[in-house]
Amino acid sequence: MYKLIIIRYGEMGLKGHNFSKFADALEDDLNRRLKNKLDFKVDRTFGRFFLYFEEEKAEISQEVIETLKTVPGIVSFSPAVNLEPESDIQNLSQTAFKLFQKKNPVLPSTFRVRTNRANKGFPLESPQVSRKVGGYIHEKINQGDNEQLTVDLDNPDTTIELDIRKSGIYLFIDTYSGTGGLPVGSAESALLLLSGGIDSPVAGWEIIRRGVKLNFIHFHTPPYTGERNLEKVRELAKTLAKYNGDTDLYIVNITNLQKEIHKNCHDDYSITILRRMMLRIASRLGLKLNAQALITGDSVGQVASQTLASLRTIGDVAELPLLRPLITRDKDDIIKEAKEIGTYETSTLPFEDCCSLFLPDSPITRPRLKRTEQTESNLDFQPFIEEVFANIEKERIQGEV
Amino acid sequence: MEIYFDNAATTKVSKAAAETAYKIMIEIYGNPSSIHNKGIEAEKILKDSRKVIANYLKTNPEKILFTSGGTEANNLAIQGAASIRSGRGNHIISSQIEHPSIYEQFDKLKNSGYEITLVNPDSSGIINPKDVISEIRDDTILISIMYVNNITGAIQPIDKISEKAKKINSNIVFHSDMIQAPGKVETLPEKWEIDLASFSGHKFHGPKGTGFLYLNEDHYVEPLIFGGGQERELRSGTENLPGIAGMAEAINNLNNNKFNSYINKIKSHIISRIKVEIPELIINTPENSAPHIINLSLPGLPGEVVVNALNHRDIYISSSSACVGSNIKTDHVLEAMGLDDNITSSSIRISLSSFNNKEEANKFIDILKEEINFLL
Repeated sequence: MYKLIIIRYGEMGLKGHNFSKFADALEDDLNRRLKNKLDFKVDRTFGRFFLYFEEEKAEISQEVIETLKTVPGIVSFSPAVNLEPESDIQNLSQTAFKLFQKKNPVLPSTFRVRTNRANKGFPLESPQVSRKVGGYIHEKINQGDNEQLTVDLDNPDTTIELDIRKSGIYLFIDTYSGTGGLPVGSAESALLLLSGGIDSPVAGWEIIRRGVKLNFIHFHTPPYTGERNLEKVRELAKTLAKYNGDTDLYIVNITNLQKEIHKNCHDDYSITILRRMMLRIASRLGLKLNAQALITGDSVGQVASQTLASLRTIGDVAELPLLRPLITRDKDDIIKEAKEIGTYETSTLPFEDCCSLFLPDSPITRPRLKRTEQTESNLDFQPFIEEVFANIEKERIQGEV
Repeated sequence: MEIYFDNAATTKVSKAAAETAYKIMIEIYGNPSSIHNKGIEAEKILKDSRKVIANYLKTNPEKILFTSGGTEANNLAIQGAASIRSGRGNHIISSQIEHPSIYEQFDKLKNSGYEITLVNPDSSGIINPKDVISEIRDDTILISIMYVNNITGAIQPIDKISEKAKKINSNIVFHSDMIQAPGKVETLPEKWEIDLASFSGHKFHGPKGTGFLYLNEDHYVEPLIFGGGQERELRSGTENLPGIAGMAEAINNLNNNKFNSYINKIKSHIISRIKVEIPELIINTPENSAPHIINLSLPGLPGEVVVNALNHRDIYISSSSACVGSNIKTDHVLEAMGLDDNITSSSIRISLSSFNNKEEANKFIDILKEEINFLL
């Protein structure tokens, strides 16, 4: 029955002479993500991507549908039937009816037929095609006086669509929403500060959705944090790599630095200062990797280190633009998205990425920059940063596809 | 070289036990209930295994009832005995130092109308028999007190408790979780007049997913699992024959059923070195304890941190306290002993087996010293 999937892209269609770069990126990503799930060839004509199957399919697997929903750049997609361009109206009607039967909506129900005729050589005009095909289905379903299926042009339960083109006629009944955004790897690269929490993986996904390719950096404090926590971060990195493509996870041991801060700096400021250290290290790594930005999961007001004053004081040391895609998002909303991208379960495993030993009783909520710099000056941190940097471990993360 | 000092959590399966299990899997794979030859040879293995285990405990094979492990044995004992005796009363006595597979059943029992009294241990972690006896009432039907505590290693005077309890009220069934005992301390449920006792194969070098309940009389429990009527209708389900035979092989390979002085020497060595070389460590394990468990605290440092630090050096121990968010989870047994928060939140447990040796103990202490130096 199905011979292809029609894919509609959004924003990238607005690109001018750059378009082919974006289209190439989308094609690469489709090939990567569907590699083990579907045999297909891509045709990129006329403002759509047509994924033609090697063999006609009775069903499109749920796996393929779920995958396409998370391929950035896709606005919507529809599994479709393909007929010859010169097919007659009888053939169209029968095929449309078959699609309708396959979907098998619970009756009584409403429907409509929508036709788009790009091939002006087709003998009937769009409204005529819609009427004839609709009439055929209506008659087939409604036997006798009992009208189980009615036409509703505004808000029908089912819409059958016909796309009449010179290259062929396409019929489809299911259209799924994609995630939008821009194809993976169509923009430059950035470095995501990945903790074991709920927010940072979602922030990563939001940026990946915009075509940015990510590397990950994770800070840990062994033995105050354990191997289980690291396993959790690897798992999160792997889930993100599914969308992002294979990448590197940089694991940074900041135990000595944390201990020095604990020893030398005012307790209330310890988290502010630790975060500044993380940003210094991430900036340095980011510059080395030619990342154009640092990404964090900060959301305004969520915890003490995310008040505007904190964000300002912490962000002050970043040497790369600091992007915070979740900055205005509510926690519930972030959790919902974490569930959708498959990171929530892992993020909520009970392994902490910061030992309670280092958590101050009352972290300061409005750390002033001056005061922070003052207490930080008690600490000769540069040698520690050098030490940390010399010991960064890099792990290759392969996204399961 | 890795050092495995977490034998109270689980043990390495002995080579002989593993080979036995493997052999049963591929050769004697029949269902012991089948009437053909494959079934008969399987049933024979089952019977032999039961006998080997009974011999070890110096009791009769018909008092051994196979389960899927210690947790199931504890559930069958507590819920099975409570429900079968419910006509005679609804009062149960247990302690504050039991394993979760005992105390996690209590809420459900309370909701079903049972009253539960939990006795506290003294500050060394040992239950005083008098404290149990004084709680006995006319409607007391079940007492469950563990034998070797899995956190501190403290040995509980179950024989004394059982003897006195039954003199006061003959309706009482006495259960003991003896899961940490075989291969470590003398284990004689029958001699000590214990009615029900739980055991787990993987604690003494047998396979996981194996265990048994010692029961003095069949009518002491009601089944929890129904089906084909295996295990004298008290525990249905096709017998895990490879596991059972492996467990029997493992118990057969244990030293004779006595206090294990080989392990105890290693334990004493560790304790004496700690006392001299790491005096900041507090020893929570009492004098009268099983030879394989040493519980220590390093006040101010969550136990989990020490576990993580040793993990990086390929030494595996455990901790019953952990960082949970901004709190530190403390250990319920140490809490029941009335110890300070800074001790209950910072405990680690070292647990040995016959597979360990003194050389490992020395290396362990050397590395522990280094790590503690770094951490403090």
